[in-house]
Amino acid sequence: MLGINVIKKFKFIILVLAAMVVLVVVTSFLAMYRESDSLRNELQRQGLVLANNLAHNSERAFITEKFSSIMNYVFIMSKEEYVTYVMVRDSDGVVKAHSDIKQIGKVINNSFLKDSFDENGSYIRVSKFTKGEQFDIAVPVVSQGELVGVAQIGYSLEGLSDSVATARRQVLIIAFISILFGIFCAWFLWRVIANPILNLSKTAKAIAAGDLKKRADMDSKDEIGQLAQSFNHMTESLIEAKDKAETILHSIGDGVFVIDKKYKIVVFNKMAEKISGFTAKEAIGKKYDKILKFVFENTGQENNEFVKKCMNEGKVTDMLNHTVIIKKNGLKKPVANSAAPLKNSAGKIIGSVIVFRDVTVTREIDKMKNEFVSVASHQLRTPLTAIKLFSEMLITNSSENLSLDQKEYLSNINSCTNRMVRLVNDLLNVARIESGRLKIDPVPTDVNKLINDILAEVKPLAKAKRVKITFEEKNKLSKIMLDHSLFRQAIHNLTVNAIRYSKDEHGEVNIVLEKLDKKYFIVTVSDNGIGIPEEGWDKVFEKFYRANNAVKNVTEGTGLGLYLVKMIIDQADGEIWFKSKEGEGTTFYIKLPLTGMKAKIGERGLALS
Amino acid sequence: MQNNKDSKKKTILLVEDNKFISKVYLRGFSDAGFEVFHIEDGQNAISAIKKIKPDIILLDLIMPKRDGFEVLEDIELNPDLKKIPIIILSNLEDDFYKKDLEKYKAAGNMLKSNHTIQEVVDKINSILNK
Repeated sequence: MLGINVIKKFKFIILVLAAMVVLVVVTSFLAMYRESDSLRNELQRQGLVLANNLAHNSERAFITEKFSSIMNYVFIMSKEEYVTYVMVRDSDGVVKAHSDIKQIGKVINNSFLKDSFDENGSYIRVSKFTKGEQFDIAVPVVSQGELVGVAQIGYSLEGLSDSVATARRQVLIIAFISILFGIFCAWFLWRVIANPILNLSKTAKAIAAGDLKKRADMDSKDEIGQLAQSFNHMTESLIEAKDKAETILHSIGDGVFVIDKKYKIVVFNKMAEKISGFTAKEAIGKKYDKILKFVFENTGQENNEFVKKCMNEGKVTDMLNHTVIIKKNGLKKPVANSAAPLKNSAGKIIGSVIVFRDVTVTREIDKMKNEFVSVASHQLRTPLTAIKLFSEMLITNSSENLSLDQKEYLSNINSCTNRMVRLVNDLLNVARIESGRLKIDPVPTDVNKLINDILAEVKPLAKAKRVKITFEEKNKLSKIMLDHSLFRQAIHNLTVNAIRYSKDEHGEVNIVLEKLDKKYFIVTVSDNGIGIPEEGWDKVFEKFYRANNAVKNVTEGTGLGLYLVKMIIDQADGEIWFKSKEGEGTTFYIKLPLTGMKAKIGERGLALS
Repeated sequence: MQNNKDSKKKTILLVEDNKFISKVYLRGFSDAGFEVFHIEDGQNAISAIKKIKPDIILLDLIMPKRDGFEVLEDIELNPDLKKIPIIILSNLEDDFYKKDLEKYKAAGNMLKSNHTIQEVVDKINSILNK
C-alpha cells in the first residue's frame, strides 16, 4: 500500500519535472525565433541602406550615360559582407552595371521592375542562390523626378542562419542541461525519499510474511533513517515476544497444535512432536487428519468429531476417554484431547487449538479402577447373596416357629441386605457413568410399553406401601430411539422414590407421558408424598445426598438414585427438574428429545438395580 | 426326555463354589421339586454332566480350579452335551461375558444377588417348559 502511493507521488514529481524541462525548451525556441525575426529585419535594413546608396550614386551615371564610372563603386560594394551581387538597370531592364561583368547588356524581365516599386519606392523579395537564401532589394533610380532605372543588390541571409544556428545550439544545450538536471532531481528524490520508504515497506512485508531476519536499511540520518531504526527496534521486540510465546508453547507439557479454518496445521509444539512422533516440519501446512490419526480405542474408527464440532459450533469440546493416537511408527498411545475454537475479533471461527495429553498411565489406572470396582462388586455380592437368600428362606419357610420380634428382625436383615445389593449396583453404575466408559445403545422404543413394563416391576413395592399408581399417555408418541437400560433406570428410580417416600395413607403416584412440542417429549412422575424440604432443593441431584425427612421416613435409600437419573438424562442430552412442597408431594419432569438418545460406543452397560 | 430315572422330577446340576450359596440353592431347589446335584468346581463338571445327564445346568463363573468359562469351552467340545440348557448364575457383571453368552448360546443369565430363589426357580421352569 505504502509502496504504491510513494511510486504514484514519485511519478507525479517526475511528470512535473519533465513539464518544467519542456517549458524551458519551448520558451528557448520561442525566444530564438523572435530573435531571428529581428535579425532578419536588421539584415533587410542594412541591405536597403546599401541599395539606396547604390541608387543615389547611379543617378549621375544615368544623366551622363557613363556607366563605367559606377563600375568601381559596384565592385567595391559587391565585396561588402553578405552582398551577393550588385546590379544597375535602366527603365527598359537593360543591365548597365553589374558585379558580374558578363551580365552587362543583358535584358532582365521588366515586369519585376514594374512590380518593384511600392510607396517607399523599394521592393524586397527573398530568392534562392547557390549558398542559400538572399534578399533581392531593388530601389528606383530617380533623376529630376523621373524614374530612370533600378539599383538592385542581393543581400545574403547567411548571417541570419549563422546566428539561428548559434541560438539553436544554445537552446539545445539548455534543454540538455535541463533534462540532466531533471534526471538528477528524480534520482535524488528516489534515492533520498522514495527508495528508503519503499525499502522499509518491503521489509515490513517480509516480516509480516514471517521472515523475522529481515531488517530495514538505516543509512540515512534523517527522519526516514530514524523511522527505519524504530522499525528495527520494533522487530526486535516482536521477535522477543514471539520467542517468549514460542518458548511457552514448546514448554507446555501437553501436545498442542493449531489448525486454520481449512483444518491445516499452523502450529505444532514440541510435546505434540514427542507424543505423535511427527516433526513440526512434517506436520505444518498439512491437513491435521492426514497426519494425526485419532481413533477410538476399541473400534479403531477415526474420531474427528470433536474437532468438527468445535469448528462448527464454536464450543470447547473434549474427548477424555477411549481415544488413542496412532503414532508415526504405527504404535497406539492413549490420549485425552480437547479442541477450543479460535475466534477473531468479530467472533468468527478462524481455527482451533487442539490439546492432547498422553494418558497411558491414567488410562491404565482407570482400567485398574474399573476392574477393581467390578471385581470388588463381585466379591461383595457373594456374601450378600448368601445372607439375602438365607434370610429369605427363614422368612418363607420357618415363620411359624418364630416370635414376632424375630420375624421383624429377620425382615430387617433381609431389607438391609437388599439395600446393600442395590448400593453395590448403584456404585458400580456411578463408577461406570463417571468414567465415561458407559455405552449408549439406543433402539426404536415404544415408550408407553417400556413404562408399563417398569410399572409392572414396581407393582409389589407399590402394593406393600399401599400406593395407587396411574399412568397416562396424553398423546400418542411414535417409536423413539432409547437405550432401554438407561431409560428404565431413570424412570424406575423416580417411580420407586415416589412410592417409597409416599405417606402411609392414600399414597398416589401419577406418571404422565406427553409430547411437548415438535422436538421434545416429557415424562412426569408426581406423588403426594413427604416432599423435599426447601433447604435440600439445590442438593437433590448430588451424590449420597438424602434429605432429612427422607432419612427419617425411609431408611433404605442409597443417596445415589437421583444422582444416577441426572447423569443418565445429561448423557442423553435431556433435562430434569422438579417441583416440590414439603408435606404435599413432589413432581419430577424429564424432558428428552424426540430424536432420542445418541449412540455412544463404550464398554459397559448399566447394572440392573 | 433324556432323563428316564424319574419322569416327574427334573434334575438340576448346580456348579457353585460358595458353600453357603450352594446350601441355600440346594434346599430351595429341592423344596421347589427338583432333584439337585451339586459340584463345587468346574474341574469335574464334564464327567458329572455325562454321569448325571441333568435337564439344566446352573453354572457359576468365578471358581477356583476350573472356572465357568472353561466349563463352557469343555461343553463346546462335547456336541452331545450342547443340548442341555445352561443358566449362568454368577455375581459377575454380564459385560464380562456377553460374548461368551452369545458364543455358547447360554439359555439365560442371572445376577445371583439381584434375585430371590423363587425368581431363579421361575426362570428354570420357563426354560424347561419351552
